[in-house]
Amino acid sequence: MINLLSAGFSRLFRNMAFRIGTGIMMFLPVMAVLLNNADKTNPREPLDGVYNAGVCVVWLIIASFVSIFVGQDYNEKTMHNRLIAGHSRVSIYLADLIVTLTGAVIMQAAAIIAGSAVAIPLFGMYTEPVSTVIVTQLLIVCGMAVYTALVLFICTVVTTKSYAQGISMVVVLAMFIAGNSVYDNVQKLREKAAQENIPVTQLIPENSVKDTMYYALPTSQADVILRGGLPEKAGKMIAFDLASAALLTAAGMLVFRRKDIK
Amino acid sequence: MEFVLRTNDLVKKYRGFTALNGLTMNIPKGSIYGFVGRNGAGKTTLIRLITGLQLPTSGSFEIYGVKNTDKAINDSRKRMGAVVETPAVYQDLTAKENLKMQYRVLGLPDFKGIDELLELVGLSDTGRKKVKNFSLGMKQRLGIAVALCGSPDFIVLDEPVNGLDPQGIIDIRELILKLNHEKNITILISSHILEELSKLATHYGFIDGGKMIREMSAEELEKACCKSVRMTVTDTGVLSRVLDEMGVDYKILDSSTADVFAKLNFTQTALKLSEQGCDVITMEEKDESLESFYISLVGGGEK
Repeated sequence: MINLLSAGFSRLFRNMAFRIGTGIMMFLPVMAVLLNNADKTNPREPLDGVYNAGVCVVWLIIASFVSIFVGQDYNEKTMHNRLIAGHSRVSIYLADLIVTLTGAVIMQAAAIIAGSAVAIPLFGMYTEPVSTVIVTQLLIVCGMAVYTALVLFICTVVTTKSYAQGISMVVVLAMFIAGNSVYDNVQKLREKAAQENIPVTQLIPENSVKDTMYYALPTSQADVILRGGLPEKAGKMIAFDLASAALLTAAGMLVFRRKDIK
Repeated sequence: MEFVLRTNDLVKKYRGFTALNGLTMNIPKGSIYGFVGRNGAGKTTLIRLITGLQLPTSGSFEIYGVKNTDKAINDSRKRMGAVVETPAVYQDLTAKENLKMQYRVLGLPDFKGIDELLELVGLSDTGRKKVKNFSLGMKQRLGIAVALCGSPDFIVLDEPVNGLDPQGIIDIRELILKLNHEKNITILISSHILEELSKLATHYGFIDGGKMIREMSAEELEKACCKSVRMTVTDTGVLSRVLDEMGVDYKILDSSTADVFAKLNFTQTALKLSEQGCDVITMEEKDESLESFYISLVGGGEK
């Protein structure tokens, strides 16, 4: 496993999709800071959470990066070298998951560093509590784990790189649309409950499909994160993310163990 | 005899199609095993099974005496290298970077030996050139270098000369012979180019329809094939007299050409003919006999 990770990380830092993805993730918070800076009507308060600006497109970046990174191994048949070298299929799958997830985490870390490097000198130090930052980042990493596990699963089922990339894009786009519409819908119902002075649970029963999707979909979680502050029921969201990632990984490994590699 | 690979009644079925239909083969240690069969005969399928890329539907195989169902098969696979169909190399890396990557996959402690490997396959001067800019022959040689990482003692090469130019074919042939003779590496080569295999193989396995038709050594094959020499002379009448005296089988084709079915001492034959006023214009050893033998084994025509 360590050998596979060593080879995987060495490849990660040379991978063009990873470099471009990191670049985009760094560009978005910097852009958000500069736009705030250009807007003279804005009060010059610390831009809490601006470094999370990339979260709105991270699903797209991960879908693209993971499918290219893993797809390359099938396309160029370098998967053969790992199997012939005597590594177990479970080790290969887990190594791919760890390497690509680390890649995604590095992208988010790069976004934090780039955003902060521009935001702090211009707007001052962030004011949000460290606990909020930690919980938010943990939630982001868990959401990334879901995307990574999902795309890795797709790449295992569909081994042609271009198809895997296309299908991954379509699936995460569908998740994005579903997450956004659930988030918007829940917000409207919450506003309505506030206006009518009735408990929210009367309009959105706990553990209903809508309620579950709101907390379970990483895309609706991203909307919650971008709203700022400490995400409500962050523990529930993290639990959903971990369960989804574990389920997708188990399913992927099951497929990969019996898969005929060409 | 010690065997590197033994398969027993291997079957591989894809949806509605049987690629291997009870294949049994034995590869002796130190041999160059020519695995011969037409396209779709099951050569690549067998290679995919033994390299762990695919799982057999039924049957079994052993690599260095370790059964495929045994957990230790992964350790046995560490003693083998393979190039299956196309070279498995990263196109956006250099030759050296590709070998370093494979060293990491194998968990080798350092990168010692990479320069020697590049030298061995004739790629030591490629520098920073990325693999995507290599010729097909260079890629093939790099694929073999990747397979040689970790000093395996069994190499599997699937159609290694496919698509190569004549010089590329010669390079690969010389490399294979060098690996076998100097490093004592057992080599399994699948091919449908019989002429090329006949220059390398010490053992043969003929496969058709997913079944092993016959396994034999090169000596056995040579005996089974009646090698012939095509002679062009000024007088086939004199030629037939001389050959009769020598007790050799032959067939007169026309007034100046004949096929001789024996190993001839060219100088003596030419001298005897010359003494009787017959000049030898050309003498050419014919290799079609291997093809004829193969056709007789598997039957002609498309299947």
